[in-house]
Formats: sequence, structure tokens, C-alpha cells
Amino acid sequence: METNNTIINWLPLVIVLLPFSAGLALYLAGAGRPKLTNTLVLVSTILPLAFAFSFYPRVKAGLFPSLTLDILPPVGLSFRVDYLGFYTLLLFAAAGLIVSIYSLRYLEPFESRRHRYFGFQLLVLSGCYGVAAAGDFFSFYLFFEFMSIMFFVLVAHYQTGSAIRAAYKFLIMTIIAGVTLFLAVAVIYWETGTLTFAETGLGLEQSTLVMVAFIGFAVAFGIKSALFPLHLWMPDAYSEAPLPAATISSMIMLKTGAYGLIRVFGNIYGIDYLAQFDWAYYLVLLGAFTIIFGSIVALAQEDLIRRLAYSGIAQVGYIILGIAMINQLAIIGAAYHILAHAFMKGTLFLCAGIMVKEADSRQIASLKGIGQKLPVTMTCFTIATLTAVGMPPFNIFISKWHLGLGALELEAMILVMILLISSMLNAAYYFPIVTRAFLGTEQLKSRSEFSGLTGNSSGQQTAGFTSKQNNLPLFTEAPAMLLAPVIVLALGCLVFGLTPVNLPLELIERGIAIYF
Amino acid sequence: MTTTASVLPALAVFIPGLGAFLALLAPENSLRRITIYSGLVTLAGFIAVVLMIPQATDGLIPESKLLALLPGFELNLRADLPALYFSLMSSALWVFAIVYTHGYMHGHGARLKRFYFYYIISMSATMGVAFAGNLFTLYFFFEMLTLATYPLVIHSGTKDAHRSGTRYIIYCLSGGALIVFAWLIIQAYLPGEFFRPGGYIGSFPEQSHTLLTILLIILVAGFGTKAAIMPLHAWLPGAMVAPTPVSALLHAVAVVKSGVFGIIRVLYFVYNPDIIRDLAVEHYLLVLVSVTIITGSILALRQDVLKLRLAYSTIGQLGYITLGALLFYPLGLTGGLLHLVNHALLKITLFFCAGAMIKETGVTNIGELKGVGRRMPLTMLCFAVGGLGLIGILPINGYISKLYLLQGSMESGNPLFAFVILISSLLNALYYLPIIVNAFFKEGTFDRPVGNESHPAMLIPTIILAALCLVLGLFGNMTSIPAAEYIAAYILNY
Repeated sequence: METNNTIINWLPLVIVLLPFSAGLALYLAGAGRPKLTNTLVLVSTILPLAFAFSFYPRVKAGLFPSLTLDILPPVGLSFRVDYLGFYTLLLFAAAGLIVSIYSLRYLEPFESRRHRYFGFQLLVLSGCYGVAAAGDFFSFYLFFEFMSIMFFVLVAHYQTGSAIRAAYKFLIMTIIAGVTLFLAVAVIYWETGTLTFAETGLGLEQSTLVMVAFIGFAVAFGIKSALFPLHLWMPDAYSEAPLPAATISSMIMLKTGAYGLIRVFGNIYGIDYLAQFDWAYYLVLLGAFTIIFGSIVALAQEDLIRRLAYSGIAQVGYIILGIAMINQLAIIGAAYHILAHAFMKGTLFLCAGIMVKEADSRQIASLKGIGQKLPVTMTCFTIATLTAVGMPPFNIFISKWHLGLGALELEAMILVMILLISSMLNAAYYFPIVTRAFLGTEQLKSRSEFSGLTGNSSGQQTAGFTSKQNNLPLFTEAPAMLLAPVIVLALGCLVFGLTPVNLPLELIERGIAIYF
Repeated sequence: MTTTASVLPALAVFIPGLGAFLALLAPENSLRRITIYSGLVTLAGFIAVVLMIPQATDGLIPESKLLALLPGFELNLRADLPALYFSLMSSALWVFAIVYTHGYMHGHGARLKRFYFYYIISMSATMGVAFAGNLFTLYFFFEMLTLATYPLVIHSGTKDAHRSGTRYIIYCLSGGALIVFAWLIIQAYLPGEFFRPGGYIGSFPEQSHTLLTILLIILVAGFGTKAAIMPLHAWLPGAMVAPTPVSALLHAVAVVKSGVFGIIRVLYFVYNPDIIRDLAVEHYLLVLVSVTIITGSILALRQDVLKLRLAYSTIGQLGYITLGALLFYPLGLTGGLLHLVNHALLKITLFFCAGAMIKETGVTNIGELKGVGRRMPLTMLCFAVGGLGLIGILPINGYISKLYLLQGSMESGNPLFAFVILISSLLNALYYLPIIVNAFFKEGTFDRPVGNESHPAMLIPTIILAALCLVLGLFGNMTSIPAAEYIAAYILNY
């Protein structure tokens, strides 16, 4: 049963408006203000996280901060931070802060269009926070579209021909997703007259239109979360976008699709309603196929970023698969995988950013021996790969465990097999990177990229641990502003599995239990 | 709704009708004084319309009986709710357009007074179309609109302009001829009737389905010519030869929407949905309109000249309004009425931006507009608002009308039309997005890559209109939606 205890609270609106206005201000202020950029980006990502945290006592007590504004017809703009929304908002806000800190250092200080990048990154984040805090599907749709369209600017950031092509592809698929989602939302609104997330199932009648709406939802969220065969935009967008932008997409934006699908299953249709039909069965098939497909294609990629991108396709397949099994344990696993994958893939992406800068190449072959140069980075990378494979006590073990239990409950051994095969494939495409990085002997460029950045320009190497004077082949590391986010994320892969109380899991369990 | 005698409808028509001559009093080459005179005239016309709102909210219909040529043959202006809705929108846009025209004509020079004269006369004609109380008055002002806009189409005086102008006048006068033909037959049987919800064709003495069907088709074709329903659309792209203020206000808003407005008058105020369902013609019309929507969008994709692309887009979007009106259900009609205003705002914004870019850079082709977003960022931003709004992106006003139209098509039991609208939305995306993307993300080949925006008289109205699109999107439930719902209820409650 749903606890309808809501309290009016303006903070969800503030959480969305803060990065929105900061992003707008940053873009309009124009180029060449690095200090303003740093301040605005940090303030408008730290505060939302803090505000989101401040909901904890109330959410824990079952009081959901909500707000409805009478704008945006037909149903108004509304926010509602329930268990699931709180969990997602917290995850997005944390990820947004971490990636923002990283990107402040990652983008060269005097790169042209830097203000535009950060301005739009904040706009994207405000859309993401809005998605998590939305209280009905129309508000969700507003933020979902806003986030996607703003992300276009990040993909096109470098403005090369291929970047614009990739961004355009992304934009067209986004519009297709938007149109199908609009149809679905219109149908549901027409059938029920409401779109709120406060109900578990809106009491839909059985009709062809409702099924069409389901397809609309599936296509829209399938595109956003790169479900096969709707993943086409993703590898190109990831390899053309600046790396922090790809990280945001991977950690947050892909998850908005999965989050939306959970909302569709739990709040719009209701679990009982969907259990009558075999619609979700097709999503199970697609999810399972996506897992295998993504993993195999990832194996074939020689470009590190593309390998990560395809691996992401496979991982989001888990989430879709878990939701579509319509089974309490599986959906808990899927929801937990949102967090587990965010931390894991975030670590990998941010590490990859450091490695790619150091090696000045994205080819996996050219990363041999880089672990000797960047031991901390590579350690974090290793932790993330172990997570990806699903070793206990890392996060993904928890989600895969639940997914596996859910599959067993359905007596679908084949799905358990797919999970296992996928784990093996994960090992097959991640471990070689790690072993080569630590054990490879190929010479890297003698001079580190970062030693030049952090040290003085006279050629005297004083930064990091590299010492040229006594020619010791010690290691160098990335600057702290790049390294700290990586370490935090890597710890995040581990910490929830070790603490006595797994806070996210608890929130998810309570959130999902409402649906059943 | 009771009728009350009032001078205001007549004022709304005659202030611009007579005030146009004021523009002729100004010295020929003083653009500033011409603008001030015509600005005041249009503003006064707008105020006359606004003054009627209190009466309308009291449930009164202000009426001005002008003259009766013969018994039952009278010019009659009635400001019922749809009339007010349409006239309020178009007269407000006229004020914006006059300011914009000042910027556009700045430095263009030639034949200014003639241009302004006919520009304001067209406003009078449009007000007449809006306030027409019977079919004869509607026909009269409809023809007047054609004649007043013809000199604007051929304004540049080139051979091309004359050719397009000739085509324009042939199409529009033929449409008018169809209307007069049908009107005469109806007049013969039912003299002295006036527009009212539920229509009056029901009391037609000859209850012949064939005759009623033929009359309906003739009337819809007559008004459909101006509404650019395919295959009667060919004049509209040709008319783009006119100066941009004309394309923006007349051929995206006033003239074409007069056609749509005429169709609404025929469907709901001469006929009524029950009779038309009985005649079983609405399905053919719906199919025709759907074809218009899709074909217009596809043809728009193929245009490289910016104004032509906008013109074909207009053809498709007008189809939405007609579609909404033809669904014969409250939500559909509300959607159509909403789109009447939403499309007007969005499309005039787009045209204003296009005009600013054409004037400032001299480029008319989309292919050469690369990088114009750096050259004129604010203009291009407004263009992006207009384009995204027509695609139906939240929170720009276009999505509201689409939502209502989608629901209207479900309400009518024909969800297929929802797909027509969605496919058209996708096509909209395909022809608007490349313009926006290339403008901002590609390098331009302009003389000055980063430069000033257009004349403030062009820029400021454009920005205000783009902002209005956002305001109507966000606050539609306090403004446009209740108005449209109220009017739809008035129309359908017969």
C-alpha cells in the first residue's frame, strides 16, 4: 500500500533551478572567466546534493517532500521525492558533483567554449535532477526532454564534422524518443486524466491504445538507455563528446531511461496490470539480447572509449531485463544496478580519461605499461573491473544476486546463464586492459602530460613523484582534482557492500515493496 | 448569449480601414513618421478589439449593423467569441509587425507609403473576416483581403513577383467565386440568416443530401484555398516573393488563418457537426487534411530557400487546425483553436527571424546560413524557440495544442490522426533542426563572422514574441487553454 504522506517542500524546485540558473548565467557571462566557472559549478552541484541529503530524515519516516505548481498545462509541474525518487536524486546529485569536479580540471583552463561546456553541463544536470524529483509523468517528460536536448550541445562541443554528425544522430533519436513518449503520455492522460507518481497503477482499461502507449514508453526509454536496436546514437556520441560529458551520460542519463521504465511499470500501469500480459516478455528478450550483443561487440573494440560504451549497453541491458521480469527481487536488483553501474562505469570512464590524456591515444594497445605511470588510477580501474565482473563484495554482486534470484523465482534458468556468460565476457574484455597496463613493457612517452601541467613551465620537474634529476623511473599521477573523484567513485563500488546497513538497498526495497 | 448594439466591431474594422489613409499623409521618405502613424492606427484597432472583451465575458455579443443593400443582404459585424479570439490575436500581431516592418524597411526605401497603406488595409479586412456576422459579410471582407494583399505580394515589382502575384490572385479570387456561388444558393432559400452556433442550414427547405454535400464541399474548397489545403496550396509558396513582413503576418497568420477561420464558420455556424456527420463527408475531408499535413512537411524537407521551407511548414501546420476542427469533438476543436494562436506566434517568430537574417546577411538559402548563430545569436535563439515549439518540445506552447489534438483524435475514435500529427512532428524536427544545428555549430562564410544583430525594431518584437511562446507554454492553463475551451464549448453547445 502507498503511504500518501506528503509534505510541501520547495527544495526540490530549488535543486532543479539552482544548476539551471547557474548554467544559464555561466553561458551568458561569456568566455574567459575560469574563477566564476569554478565557483558556479561547485556551488550549484554541492548545494543540490546537500539539499537532497536533507530530505533523508523525512523520507525515512515516510514523509515525501512534494510540490505542485500550477504551470505547465495540463497537469501542472510537480515534484515528489519518494523512496525511489530520493535514491535516484541522491545518486544523480552525487554523480553530478563528482563528475563536475573532475571536468573542471579535465577541460583545459583556457579552452575555447569552456563557458558553453560548463553552462550546458549544468543545464543537463538540472534536467537530470528534475527527472529524479518529478512527481508526475508530464513533469518527468519536461525534464527528460530538456536534459536530452541540452546534452546535444555537449556532444557537439568540439564542433568537428564527426562530432556534429554524432550529435545530430543523437538529437534525431532523442526527438524520436520524445515523440513516442509524448504519444504514450497523451494516451495515458486521455485514458485516466492523471499522470501522477503517487499511485501504484492508474487503473487503466484494457485496450489497443494502452498497448500502443506501452510500446511508446518502451521505445522512448529504450532509446535513452541504449537498448538494442535503439542504441545507435550511443557509441558515436560517447567517442565524440568530451569525456566528462560521456561520463554524465553513462552515469546519469542512461539511468533516467531505466528509472522512467520503473515508474511506468510501477506507477503508471501497475505491476498487477502488466502481469496479465506478455508485453514485458518482449523487453526481457531485448534486454537479454542487448546484454550478449553489447558484451560481444565490446570485445571487438580497440578504442577504449568505445569498448566502455558497448559495455555500458550491455550493463543497461541488465537493468531493463530486471525491470521486465516483473518480479520483486529482479526489480530490486535492477534498481540497485542503477547505482552499481553508475559507480562502476563512472570509475572506468574517469580513469579512462586520465589514461587517455597520459597516453595521448585511445587505442587499448597503446595503454601497455600505463599502470606503472598511473598506479592509483589503474588500481581504481582494477577495482571497477572487478566490480563489473560481479565479484563480492562489490556493488554489482548485489544487483546480480538479486537479478539471479529473481530469474530463479521465474524458473528462467536461461536468464541466469546469460548473467553468468555476461560476467565472463566482462572479464574477457576488461582484464586484458588491466594486465597489460600493469605488466606490459612497452615504453610510454617519457615525459608525462601531467608533469607539464602541474609543474612550472621552465622544464624543471618538481610536480608529482617524478624526478628527472636522478632518473628514477618512479611514477607520476594525475592531479588531485582528477584523482580524487576517481578514488571516491572506486570506493563507492565497494563501500555499500561492506557497511552493515546498505542504505541504498534499503531505500530501494522500501520503494519497490510499494508496488507489490 | 444576447446581441447588443455596439459601435466597437465597426470601429475595429474602420479604424484601420480609414486610418490607412493617414499613412498616405506622411512624407514619402520619412519612414519614422509613417511608422508612427501606422503604429497608432493599428494600436487603436487593437484597443477597439480589447474593449469588447468585457462585454463578451458578460455573455453579450456586440453587433454593428452596417448597411442593408437589399432585405436579407446586409453587411453585419458581430463580435461573438470566436471572432474576438481571432481578431485579438491578429490585431495584436499587427502591432508587432508594424514595428518590425520599420526595421525591415529601414534603408529599403522604395514605395513605402503604398506598402504601409495596403498593410493596414489588410488589417481592416482581417478584422472584417473575424467579425463577419453572416456569409455575405464574410465573403465581402474575404475578397477585400485578397485585393489588399495583392499589391503587397507584387511589392518588389520584379517579373517573378508579378507572376506569383497573378497566381495568387487567380487562386484566391477563384476561391472567392466558389464561396459566392454557394452563398447565392443558400441565400435564395434562407435569406437574412446569420452565423450562430449550430448553424442554420438545418432549416434548409430542400432536404437534399446531395445539394447540402455539394454546397459544403464548395464552401470548404473556397475557404480552403486560402487555408492552403492541398491541392489548392500552390499560391502560398509563390507568395513568399513578397517582403518578409508580408510573409510573416499575412501568409503565415492573417490570410491563411482567415481561410481556416472561414472553414470553422462553415462547419459550425452554417452547418453543424450532426448534419455533416449525416452527410458523411467529414472522413474524406479528414483524409485530405492528413495528406496535406504529411505532404506539406515532406515538401518542406526538400526546400533549400528558408522562406519556402517555412511556407510549406505553414501548409502542414494549418492542416492541424483544420484537422482539429474536423474532428467535431470538444478536445479536438480546442486543440485546433489553440493551434490557431500557438502556430501564429511560433511561425511569425520564425519568419521575423528569417527576415532579420535575410536583411542582415543577404542570404536566402538554408545551405548558406551556416554559422549564422554566431553572427546573430539572439535572432537564432528566437528561431530555435520557434522551431522547437513547432516540433512540440516542452515547455514551448506548441506542445499544448498537439496534446489536445492527440486527445481529440482519440476522443473521436480515430487514433490514426494522432499518428499523422506525430509523424509530422518528426518531419518538423527533420527540417527545423538542421537549420538550428548548422547555425550554431558550423563555421560561417559571412563577411563579419561575429557582428551586430538586426535593427532593434526587428529584434525586440522578435524576442517578445519568442518569450510569449514560452509564456503561453508555461502558463497556458491561465490564458490560452481556458479561452479555447470556453470558445469550443460555446461553438459546440447548440
